[in-house]
Amino acid sequence: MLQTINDLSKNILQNFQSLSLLLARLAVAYGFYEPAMSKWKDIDGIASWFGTMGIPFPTLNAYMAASTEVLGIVLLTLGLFTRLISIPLMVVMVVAIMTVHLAHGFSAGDNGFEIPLYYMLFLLIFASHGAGKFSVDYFLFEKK
Amino acid sequence: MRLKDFYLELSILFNYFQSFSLLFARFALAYGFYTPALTKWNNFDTTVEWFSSLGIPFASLATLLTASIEIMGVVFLVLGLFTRLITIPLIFVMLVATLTVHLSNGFSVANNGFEIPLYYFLFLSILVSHGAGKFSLDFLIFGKER
Repeated sequence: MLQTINDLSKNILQNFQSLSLLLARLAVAYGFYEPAMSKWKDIDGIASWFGTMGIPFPTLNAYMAASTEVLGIVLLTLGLFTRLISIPLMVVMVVAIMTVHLAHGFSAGDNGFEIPLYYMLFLLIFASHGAGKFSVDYFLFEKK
Repeated sequence: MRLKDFYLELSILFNYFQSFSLLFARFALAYGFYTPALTKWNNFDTTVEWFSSLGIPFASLATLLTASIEIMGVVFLVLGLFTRLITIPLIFVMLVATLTVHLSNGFSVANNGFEIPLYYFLFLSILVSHGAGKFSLDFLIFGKER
């Protein structure tokens, strides 16, 4: 009985895998939009801010973080090299959590690490599951 | 095509982390539902009043249902038991919360907007379609889960 219910719901619901991955990709891309833009607009300000937080090579790292984020927006939206871009984006999130958010605790209301943690989890899902069928990756690499 | 070979090889390697990613997402969701679930149970009457002020019909019944779904969600998501079945009512709870409370506050978390309920909705739709992964009771009981 339970086995039947489980198999039936599985057979129906697994058709939505690619849709759920597409929606999550678009949400994460949207989430990276504002931080990416604000970094590019004031890259010198960001470099000195990185310097005050004790990040080594602040100018280089400001450019690296800003480029990774912009690249992330484009590639996650297209679903191109999804697994690859998820790795540096996770690194950016880890650094953001360690340097900024961790001290504020968990809650998003206090600028805690709640939202960056959710982003990391989404990115881990993208890295391990790929982008799904609604992606350039699928046409380039997986379509038989 | 060398790029294609590289990407396929990478995919095979990264695929090993699928069940880990689903496990972490389940724990994060369970933790996220923990506080709202307990708040509803501990302040049941206040929640009923709040629900009826939001225009939710049958406020007492709705509160009982929501609080039960959330607390069951916490337990079942941690265990990875009946993951797909518990995820559907949780998605419903998130949709109602977004429509009645968060939507009019815009997107940003700072204004109690719908950003976090949206992320929950997305995690839940990933879990409902992919299942709980191998580190779950579903896998032990029903097997062949993904």
